[in-house]
Amino acid sequence: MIRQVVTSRDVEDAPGGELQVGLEDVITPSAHEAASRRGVRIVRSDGSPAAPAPAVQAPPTPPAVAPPVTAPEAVRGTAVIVSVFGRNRPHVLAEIAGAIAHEGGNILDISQRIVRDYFSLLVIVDTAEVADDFRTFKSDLEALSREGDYFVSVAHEAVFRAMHRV
Amino acid sequence: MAPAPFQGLGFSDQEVFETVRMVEMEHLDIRAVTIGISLRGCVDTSVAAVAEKVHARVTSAARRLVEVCTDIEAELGVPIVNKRVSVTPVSLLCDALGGADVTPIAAALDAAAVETGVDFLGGFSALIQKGITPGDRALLDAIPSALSTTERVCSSVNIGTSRAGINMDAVLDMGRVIRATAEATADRDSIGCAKLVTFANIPEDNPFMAGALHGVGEAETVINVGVSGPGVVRAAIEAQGPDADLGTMADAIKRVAFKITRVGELCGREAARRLGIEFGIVDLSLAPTPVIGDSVAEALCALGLEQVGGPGSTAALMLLTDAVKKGGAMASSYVGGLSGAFIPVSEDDGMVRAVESGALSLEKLEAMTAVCSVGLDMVVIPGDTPIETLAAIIADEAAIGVVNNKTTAVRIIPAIGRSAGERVDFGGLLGGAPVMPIRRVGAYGFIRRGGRIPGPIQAMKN
Repeated sequence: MIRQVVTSRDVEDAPGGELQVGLEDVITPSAHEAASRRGVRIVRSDGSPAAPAPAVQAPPTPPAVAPPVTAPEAVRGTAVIVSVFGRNRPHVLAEIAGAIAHEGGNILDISQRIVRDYFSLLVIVDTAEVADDFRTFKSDLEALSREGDYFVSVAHEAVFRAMHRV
Repeated sequence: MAPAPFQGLGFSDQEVFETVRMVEMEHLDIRAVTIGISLRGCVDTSVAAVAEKVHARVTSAARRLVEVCTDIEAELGVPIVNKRVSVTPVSLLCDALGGADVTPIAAALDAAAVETGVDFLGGFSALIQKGITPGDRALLDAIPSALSTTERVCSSVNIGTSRAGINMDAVLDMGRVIRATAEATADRDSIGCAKLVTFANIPEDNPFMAGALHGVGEAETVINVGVSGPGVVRAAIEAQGPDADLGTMADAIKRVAFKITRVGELCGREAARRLGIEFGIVDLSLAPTPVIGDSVAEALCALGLEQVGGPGSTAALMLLTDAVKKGGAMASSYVGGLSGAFIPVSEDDGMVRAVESGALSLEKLEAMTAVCSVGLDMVVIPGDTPIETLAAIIADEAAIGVVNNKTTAVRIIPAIGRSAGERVDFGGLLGGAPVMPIRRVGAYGFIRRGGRIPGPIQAMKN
């Protein structure tokens, strides 16, 4: 169900001193203020009174310091980049995605480009749930490479971060 | 555990494919991950006891090196070509041995290298830039037998520094040692000399063979990394087109050197973290291999030289080396080792062709070593070259290093029974090369005077 926002205008327009709202609707502080000023009761659809929402604490502001200059970060996390390029034909994406699914990889993002007869495909995969170790995952996917068809390469995201981000 | 929130691709297609192209087509690799191991705890009074201790020390310290590096190369998709060990200069363990033959220590190191799966182990070495102790003498005497009876042990000897000058007695000793090593491996085209380097200003944290050793000022164990990628540099140069000026070229090389070095730093830090030991340095050297396309000479030709060895070669090499250093220095927190371009002859397909066509002479090669690392490297010369001439070649190269405050080295192979124009093949990373002619002009009187050439005035900096 879509949550509605109940504002002071809704309170002012309410006929007969009562305003019915949905279970999940959000009642703004100004609506509560208007309701108490005008003696309007705001009632949820299940009949319960709509209490003012507890104040939400603002997230702590991080101190304003320059990020430390660091060496390339360690190889951590489970995101890997599967890069594929070659001659375009039907089923390429299905084959790659199918193989990743078969290994238990979770696709986080995909980017694909076609230039004339050729394609390039990047798939970011979270390997946290992959059953085998990284080396098996990598060699299974890279086994899809065929001369004259397409080429698959799998590498941890850290190597791209080291090379392209300071 | 819930996965960390995904932050988006973060890289453009272009960036990802640039990396993949560098590795798959331009031979980007980590040339060497080298674990430095201190042997200072292995001192004893008998050769057998020292041999046993160094074997135990190396096999335990380097036990997981190959496994960890193999994991990292799979995960990062960047090959780590060589996994190596460097140790404390072995001569330091020899002074208490009463002048006994120390070849068994080399045998123990060789066995440890085989057991840990590393391809080379460096540090059968002595530092004799100013004087020679009985232990140093025992080590020098053992080098020919050590290098002819072991496969993976490498030896290096430092005969000069900018502070101490050049120890000409040691230079002559090295002429003898090189000659004896060549004779001891004469049946294999004197390959023993390919594992023996004579240095001036030897670095103590060099990860590259054959000159790697674990310096006396180093920690108990340390990881040093040598990056590579002449093919990547050449591609970056070629991408600028024929009309780009040399400033643009230098900038393109800097950018690509930065990227190469960042990957080296990542691999080195990761290996150190997984092994639980300290990360030392990244060596920014451009190191070629005999593989076609993995050549420093070709990178120089991409700058516009017809062939390496002609006029302009020294200037082109200076530009290349300097740009690699500038880009690399920004990418690594600790730069060390040799950090320059290597121009070994037999290991670089382009250099071999330059020698074969007559474009590159020994003298031009020597001039080029003034602006790069390391020196006369993997140069094959006629087997009948006199000991004094070998020593004179070493002295000339050392002079360039000592006066310019830089490392220079000589890894020269007098191939016994071969004469100029013949070809020898060592195989593997060592490659093969034609025997280069050498000028038959003696320096007998100069070399036989012995003594020390004093440190140059440039060294007096205090």
